[in-house]
Amino acid sequence: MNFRIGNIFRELSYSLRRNPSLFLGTMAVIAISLIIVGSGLVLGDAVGNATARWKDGVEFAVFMNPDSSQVEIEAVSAKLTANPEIERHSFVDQQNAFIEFQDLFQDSDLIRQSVTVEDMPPSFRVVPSNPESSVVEALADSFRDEPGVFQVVAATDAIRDIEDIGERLNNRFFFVGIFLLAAAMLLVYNTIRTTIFSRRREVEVMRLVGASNWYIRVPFMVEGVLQGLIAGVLTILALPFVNDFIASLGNTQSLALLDGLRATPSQVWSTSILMTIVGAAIGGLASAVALSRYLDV
Amino acid sequence: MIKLENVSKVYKGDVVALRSVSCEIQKGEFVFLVGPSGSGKSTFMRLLNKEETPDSGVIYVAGKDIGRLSGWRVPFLRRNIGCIFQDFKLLDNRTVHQNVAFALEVIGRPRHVISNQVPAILELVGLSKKADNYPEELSGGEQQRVSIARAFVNRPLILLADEPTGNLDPATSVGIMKLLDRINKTGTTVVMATHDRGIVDTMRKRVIELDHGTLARDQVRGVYE
Repeated sequence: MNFRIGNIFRELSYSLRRNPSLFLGTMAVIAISLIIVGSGLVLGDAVGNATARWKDGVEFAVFMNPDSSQVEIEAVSAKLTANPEIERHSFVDQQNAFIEFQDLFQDSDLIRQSVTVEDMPPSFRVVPSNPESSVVEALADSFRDEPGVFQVVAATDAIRDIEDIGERLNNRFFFVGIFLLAAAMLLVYNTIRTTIFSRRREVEVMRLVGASNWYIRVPFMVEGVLQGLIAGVLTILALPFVNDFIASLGNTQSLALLDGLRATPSQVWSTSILMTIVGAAIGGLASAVALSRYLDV
Repeated sequence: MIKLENVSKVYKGDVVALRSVSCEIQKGEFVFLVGPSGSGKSTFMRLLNKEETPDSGVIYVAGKDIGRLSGWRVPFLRRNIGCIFQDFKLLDNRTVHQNVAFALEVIGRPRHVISNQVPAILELVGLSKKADNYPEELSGGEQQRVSIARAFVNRPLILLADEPTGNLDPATSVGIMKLLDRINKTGTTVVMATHDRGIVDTMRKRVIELDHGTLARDQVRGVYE
């Protein structure tokens, strides 16, 4: 490969100056596509976080006092086991409750540091045979007055609705996003094709004077990848705001049960990085296909 | 320097461009390639720098069978062959200096080599004072000189000129031919396709005539017809 990085970027800058609107337009479409797909993923994470304790058919949780005795815990466990209307249950001890709490409030140091393992209530997560809300409520009520029980919290229809809506929205975001990404890919393909056409004289001269295939191709490839990367950076900037917006929906009065409707910073970061990689890959792939079809070296 | 052995080239639709052409051109020769339009002159030139591949026959350039060259080595072949065209093929958005420097930049020549060689070649073609002008600010003859400078700046072994005077008036053409003659005298092999009877008859160099893809005449110190 006989070329210099500086030369490649100079060729690239010639190309960008010639067609800035095409470059910016394509980049904007990629960015919008990535932000929509990324928003779907962030929403999925947020709903997952907010409803984590209600996964796998868990309909209500029996929280014990943090200082409840082993006897009290075993008594509640025995009552749960004996009840024929209860399909199964699991026990979350103080240590695991603490880990769950730390995960839920990953982005708030103040809240995380305000509690210790000893402050956490151990709990039973209960899966009833019949998930009808009236049955669940009656079952939950039967544990409220047990010795050592601090609180019984039942999943309401609202939470199930949120899960359903979250899942449906997530699917729609995903399909719309994939559709837009496919459109973005076609746009990159056409941009590179147009760029090849507008620079055909340069390419012709390069070939005649003996420029290597790589020297001729790399600026076009870089242009495609750069569009994807810049769109990825815009996605990195946008997704925290999307996450805040989702969290603000969870904080509204009607959805107070979903106080933790928010993706963690690490989830937002990993989604952002994934979207940036997807953007670069789309740019690179579309460029490569356009080059193989339209650039004869 | 250049050797063709029974070279044939047929395009789609059974259009015969070259039919079993054999000839040899020595290092430092100046050869005119003449013949009517469609006789195969351009194909002859395009085969030499591997823009086209023959359907049969063997072509040697600088002792190498270029049919056996792998794709990634073709650019190295082309660095030894300068090309000049009737339409100049200059880059409108670059100055004279940048157009010539472009030929060195894209093959990875160091900056100090470029800054030495470009002014020297512009001096040779008589365009030192126009180094910062854009092609559209130059006359046809001057543009062809830039094209020659670009083709010759890398000191190729061979210069292929495809009707370089086709767009120029007779007086300007004489200037271009003098320049090509000077370049030829440095040891560079020059192969020039032309329809310009006056130039061929005046210069009295070797003439290879093609007719319907076949070699009709190969004459030392020849004339157009």
